[in-house]
Amino acid sequence: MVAVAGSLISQLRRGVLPYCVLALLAEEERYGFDLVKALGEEMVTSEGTIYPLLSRLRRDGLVETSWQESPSGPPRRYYSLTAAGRSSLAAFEDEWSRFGAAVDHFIQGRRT
Amino acid sequence: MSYDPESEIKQYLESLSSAAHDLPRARRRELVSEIEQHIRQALAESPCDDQGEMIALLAHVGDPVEIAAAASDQAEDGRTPLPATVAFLRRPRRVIIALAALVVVALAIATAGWVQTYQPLAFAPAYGLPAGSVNTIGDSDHGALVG
Repeated sequence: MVAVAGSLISQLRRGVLPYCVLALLAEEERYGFDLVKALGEEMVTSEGTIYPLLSRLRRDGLVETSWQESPSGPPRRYYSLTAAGRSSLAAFEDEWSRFGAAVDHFIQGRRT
Repeated sequence: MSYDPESEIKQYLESLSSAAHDLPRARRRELVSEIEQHIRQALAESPCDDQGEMIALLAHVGDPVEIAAAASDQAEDGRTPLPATVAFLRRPRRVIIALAALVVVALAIATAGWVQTYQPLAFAPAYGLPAGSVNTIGDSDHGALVG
């Protein structure tokens, strides 16, 4: 079971990461590097893998991008949520609160 | 060996580009350019004074093979993957081999056809001979076919 834990976490992470990105972008628009820092090491183990994910979210119409000048260095590509991204996030929040509660129910039920 | 951050970055981006060779060219270029910007922003935030720090920074960015694999995954479960035929045609060497094989097969068929045409006339099919010539051997079956 201990051996499985690493791959289990990476599977869980892969499943929820897109929605954590959408949730962060719902607060404010961000550029890639900033997003990686905000997600932290718990969510992003290999920083570069966030870009293929952002690219897919953009192709799926959940986020949109705009280039903006940066106070230091080259222009930055900012990501923000689209209307479709907002409704996708809302649907996930709904699912997650039910699913998370169900998992908690079993785990906490065992503890007491 | 002197430390050159630019050559470290260049080397890293080259290995990313070659690891991502399966991606469509535009997607691959976009990925490489985004990773390059990420590296430059990381460097602007915490400059690397020696090779060890640069290697650590690139390790944080991730294994190029892993990043390329994430890119192919996202390409596939997002929309339609590249059709097999298109993926095939993107490899010039395979196309040349396939065309060569096609030529060999065509030649084999042509040769077989040529040999059959010049078999003894009893076996000759009606095609390949002028319609009238078949009747001259007095073969009623062939005559019926042609008539």
